[in-house]
Amino acid sequence: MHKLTHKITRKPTPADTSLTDASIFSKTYHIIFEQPVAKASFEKYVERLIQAIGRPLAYNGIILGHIKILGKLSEEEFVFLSLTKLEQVDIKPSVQWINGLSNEINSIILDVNVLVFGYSKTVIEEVVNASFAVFHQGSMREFYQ
Amino acid sequence: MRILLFGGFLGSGKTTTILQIAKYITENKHETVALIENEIGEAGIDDKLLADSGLQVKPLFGGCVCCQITSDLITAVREINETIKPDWLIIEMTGVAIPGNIAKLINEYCNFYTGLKTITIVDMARWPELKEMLEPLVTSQLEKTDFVIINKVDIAGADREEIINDIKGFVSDVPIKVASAANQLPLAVIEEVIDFA
Repeated sequence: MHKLTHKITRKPTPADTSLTDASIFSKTYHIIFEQPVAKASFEKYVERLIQAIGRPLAYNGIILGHIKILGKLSEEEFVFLSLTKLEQVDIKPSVQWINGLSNEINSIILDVNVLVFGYSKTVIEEVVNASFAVFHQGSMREFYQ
Repeated sequence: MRILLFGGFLGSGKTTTILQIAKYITENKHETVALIENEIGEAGIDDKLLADSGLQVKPLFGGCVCCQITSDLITAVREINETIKPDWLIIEMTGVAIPGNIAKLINEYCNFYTGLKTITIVDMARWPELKEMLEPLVTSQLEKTDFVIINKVDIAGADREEIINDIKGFVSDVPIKVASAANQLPLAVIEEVIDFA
């Protein structure tokens, strides 16, 4: 298992952060699995992914902003992950995600939304891409929409 | 139409709080609720969580942080008042909005409401760091608000009394409640939020 890490050499300071220093990175990814993945396993993967994105952007273990990932099979069948503190990932499945007919998924849409203070959009994008690169080492391929 | 305007820093628990309050209004008071979801980002995420609970949601997205989408917000409030005519309109502001400023705009351009209350949610689990790094923003969110919920008491550290007292120092004379929306808001808090007496 690969450890998901990405290093940023400089952390933000109070002088860096003002209202105008917040950057937003939003991107939609289409993930196709080479073989069916259980929803529970997928949730674990994405939990690691969101922490990997958050780790280099965190300050004292907290996110100066909010990182959200929505894994979506349909408008009704989705799982939502939220990160504001590194050690605590909030996972909220939709009713349909829990009660859906199949417990396995072949592909999924991932909406990634990162809004943090103190880092540029370019840096955030690098962090997200590096985290995804490791995430996809295994049996997954990624297609940008 | 009564308006509840929810503000508070990114990830402070606004959506979780709103879900419980909207559910209480529809199920216990049997009154109608419309929601405006004001989110930064190209893809809406929070609106899906709200819609999953059977609520009618009007999403407003902004691709950049500096854009407060205020004109769209005013248009949406007017449209909902003229078409849906709900008993309650709940507005979730972006995590970088200043509730007092938005309330002023609504007062100016949407004064057809029968009641308006601003509620600021504070994430006490991140308060020391947010105050250290973003004090102008997080303290201005506490100014000119009508009600404060200090949230995430369940995951706050041992210094929680100190944090609560610190937050209280930035709030003027309005009700302040300490709660955990993730573990369900106390009924008394919900009832106080929707009380316009």
